[in-house]
Amino acid sequence: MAKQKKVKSKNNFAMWVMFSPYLFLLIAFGLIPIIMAILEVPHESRVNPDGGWDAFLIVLQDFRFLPAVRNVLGFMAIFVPTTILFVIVMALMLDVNPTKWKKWLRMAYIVPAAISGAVAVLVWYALLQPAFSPIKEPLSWFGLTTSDQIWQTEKLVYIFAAMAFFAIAGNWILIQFGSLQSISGEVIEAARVDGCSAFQIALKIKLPLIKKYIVYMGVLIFAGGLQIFVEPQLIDSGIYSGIAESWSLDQLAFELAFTTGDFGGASALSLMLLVPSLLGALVVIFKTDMFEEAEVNSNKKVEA
Amino acid sequence: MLKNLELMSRKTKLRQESRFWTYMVNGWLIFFAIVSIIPMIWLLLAPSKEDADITNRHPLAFGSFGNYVKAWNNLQFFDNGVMFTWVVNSLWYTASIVVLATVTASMAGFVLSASNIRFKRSFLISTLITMLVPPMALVVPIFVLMDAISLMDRPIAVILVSSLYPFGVFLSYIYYTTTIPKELYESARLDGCNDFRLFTKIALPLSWPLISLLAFFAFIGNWANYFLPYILLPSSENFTLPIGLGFLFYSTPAINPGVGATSVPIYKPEIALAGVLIAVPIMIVFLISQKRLVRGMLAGSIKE
Amino acid sequence: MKKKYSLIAIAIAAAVAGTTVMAMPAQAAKPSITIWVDAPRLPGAKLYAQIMKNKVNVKVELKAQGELVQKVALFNRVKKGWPDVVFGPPNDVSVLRDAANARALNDLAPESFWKDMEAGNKWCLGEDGKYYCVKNDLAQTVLWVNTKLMKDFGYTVPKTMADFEKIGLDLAKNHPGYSVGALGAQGAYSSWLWPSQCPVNQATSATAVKIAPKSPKCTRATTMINKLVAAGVMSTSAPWDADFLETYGKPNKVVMTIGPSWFGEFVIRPAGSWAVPAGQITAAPMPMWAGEKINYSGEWGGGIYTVSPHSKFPKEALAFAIFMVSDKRNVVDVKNPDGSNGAPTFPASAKGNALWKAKVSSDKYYAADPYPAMLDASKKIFSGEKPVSYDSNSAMEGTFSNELKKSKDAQAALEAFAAYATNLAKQLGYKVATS
Repeated sequence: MAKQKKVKSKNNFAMWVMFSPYLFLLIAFGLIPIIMAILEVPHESRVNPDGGWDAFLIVLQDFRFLPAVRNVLGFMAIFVPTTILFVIVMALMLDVNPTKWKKWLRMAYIVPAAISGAVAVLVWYALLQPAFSPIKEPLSWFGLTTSDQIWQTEKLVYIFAAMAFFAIAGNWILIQFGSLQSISGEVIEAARVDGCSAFQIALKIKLPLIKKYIVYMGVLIFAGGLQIFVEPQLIDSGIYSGIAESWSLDQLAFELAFTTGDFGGASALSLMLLVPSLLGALVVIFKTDMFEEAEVNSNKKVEA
Repeated sequence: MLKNLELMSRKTKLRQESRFWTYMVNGWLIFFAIVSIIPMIWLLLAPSKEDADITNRHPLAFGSFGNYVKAWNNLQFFDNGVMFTWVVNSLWYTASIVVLATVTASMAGFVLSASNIRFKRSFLISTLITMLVPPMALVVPIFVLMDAISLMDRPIAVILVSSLYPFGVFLSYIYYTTTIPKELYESARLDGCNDFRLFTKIALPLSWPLISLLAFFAFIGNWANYFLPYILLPSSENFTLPIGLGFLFYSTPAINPGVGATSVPIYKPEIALAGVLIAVPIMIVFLISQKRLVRGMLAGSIKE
Repeated sequence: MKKKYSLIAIAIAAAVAGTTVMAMPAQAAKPSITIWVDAPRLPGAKLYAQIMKNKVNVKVELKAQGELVQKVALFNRVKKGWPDVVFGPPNDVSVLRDAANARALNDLAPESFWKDMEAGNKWCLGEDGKYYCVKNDLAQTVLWVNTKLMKDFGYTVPKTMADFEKIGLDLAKNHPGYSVGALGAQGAYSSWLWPSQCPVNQATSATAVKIAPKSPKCTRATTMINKLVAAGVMSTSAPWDADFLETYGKPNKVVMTIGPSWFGEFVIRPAGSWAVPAGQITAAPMPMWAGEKINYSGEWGGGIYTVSPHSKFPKEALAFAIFMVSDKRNVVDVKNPDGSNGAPTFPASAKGNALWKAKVSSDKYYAADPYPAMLDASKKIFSGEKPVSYDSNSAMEGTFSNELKKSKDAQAALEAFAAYATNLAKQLGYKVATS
């Protein structure tokens, strides 16, 4: 017994050595920044001259805060459900599609994923420029012939939703297609024998079977959408000056920090934005069986 | 063989049911494939044209190969060829991140799967949480940290932060848990293997599919990353390509002639070429590794 | 609140300056300075570095005008990295002073230089009578005229705003498809609201600003803009937006437009922009509003040099700015990447300006010498508009331009701007007067 214990602790030393680089990164850049941000909040600044935890309240009362919340929520209200629905429908269609050149379709779908961030801003600037857009014909069908009809602050929710959609939809179509492939053929065959139509099979059998992947996708899309920054920031500073000033919450945090010099307020806002993402993560981990293989969800296992 | 047959029958399902719906589904799938690739085609063709021809000629017309060279030479004009520095920076930052992230994550994943170190479950849960919270949520806190430890404007700051790779750890953990039976470790231990050798002699030789998966996700996550380097690396000699592209937006007359039309020969073809340099590597990686994308994202929940 | 903040800032600045002085080596080393300029100023800055090679180490960095304030906030935070002298947009002087990063310059240059700059540098004069920046160029608005089109259509250059409007409406009726200008970006503000003396950013002290969109000086401009926009002869895009270029710029359909003195070289002439052929364009004085005695001008840009209080070599830093605004080697001779020579914009220094005049007056591109109209307007920039400590230019483009594009109602757009700017101002502790 004693000997075994000794062996084990010796073994664990090597394990800890191999684990430590990651553990260092996890603590240094996952945990400590959050602590630093909390400590930063009560610092004095021009908008919070006396310092203190009022910083949270001051951020909430900033005249740009509510518009930014409205912008981000509006953007998410369009982007998140559209993307999820579209991805599911496309994946189901791809799944029942009998053709041989499915491979080429999948390749095409993944191409827009390469256009992200700064490149996406450039490409969408061109796409929505009726003077030289590759889609100027379709734009004109909707009466859009000049850029000032398109590039208005109120329309940015749609523009950013479209940008975000194309940046990730292709990836997720492939992934959900993959998850559909995992459904056993016998189940489908049985349903078919029972006289289910393709549509019914999709709705009644395939969808419930891939539910957890859809939740997983939903959380990742939601958390990413909440942090929208690059697109409005670049369009505002590089293309249409002022059009998306403090448009998103991340931009406001950036603006507070680097224009007003209010790092306390910026940290307060970042911390508040962290909360919904954390909640989403906890939901996926503990309320779905997405990570059942990880065996972290011991309670659920017992129940099942 | 039997499985193949089942798959066949499932896939021909739609065709048996309705020719009309088959055409509709196919038509839509092809339509969306075309929609998906048009922006990329525009981007690839834009540098082949003269600036004026981007507006005057058909948006998807091809100019000449000579114009790519001309656009590249003009980019070199910008601030003494700082463009080349950005290419080099992007390459070595991303390469360092891919290596560091892959090494730390594969070791950590191995430890989590092969050992019983203390807090194992806590580590797993915090890994999952960190993986599901978008990295952008921590950018301001990370800035506060980097400022405190004087790593601002040092590439190592971006490299270290980006090397925190919880998704990679999770992938490795799942991979090792599902591919290497515990008994293998036990017998190796009995043969006198220590834990380091357990990793290098048993796990690693079986991990090449995992390593390529880790490298793939590390690459696509960091090649086009914007927010983090944008904040941590303010000097233009430390920029990456995406940050540099953003810088071109607001410091050249390509999109804003008000910036100074006579001052630098950077116009739309030049800026599009910079976009191509960012988008094409990531597109190629996507196209050749799309299977990895699906496999990685569904790891741990689908048994192959 | 604001005052307290600046006291703290001054204290910090003093403390930092104290430590750097103590840290300086005893023997006088070769000074080194870091310069930040935007792309149009880059050739001049590099030339300066070359010239000074043996006396001063000059490090030139290319920065966009818009990122300056952000970077300074960052450097204030990390307490290092400040450049010695920077070129930036005019409003930055106030923002940078607030961030404790623009020092008073009077003692760094001989009296003769300030004499030379007296007329051109009013913008930089603080309420304490000291200069906090050096103005690189004036961006005074003038009336840019296409003499060929005016002649073809039988118009004479308008002397009053009423005439301007008449021509605009006549164009709409008899020659549809032609334009009298674009209002996007800062067009409406600098070409219309400012010359009309509309109180948009009238900082009356360091802590008070007048923003009065309902003033008659505003409504006369917005009413006229609305008429011309409704008639379809004035665009709400920016003069370089792709659709304006395609519809009016490149087909040479802009009959006249109010625009800053740099419009000729930056917007009208370049091949990638309107590319109006030689021999058609000139500048005329600003039209006069009814009941006014002076045809005021506004400004669109007109960058400034500021010197950081953290600079160890402020004299050398300012010397760079002096070179840029008044030395012949930059103003007239410096080689630009596109093959043209000299500074592209109207120098604020009297000496530099005299040199520049020779260059532009002899330029065969213009149908008639545009310099006299520019010079006249340079003396009539309405001085009520003053730098403020918030980014009013972005607010103008974000709210006004955007609302105008959407509603085509300049008055509503102006009020949207006023509401936003009032919020920005109040947040920084300004008192806002609305009448």
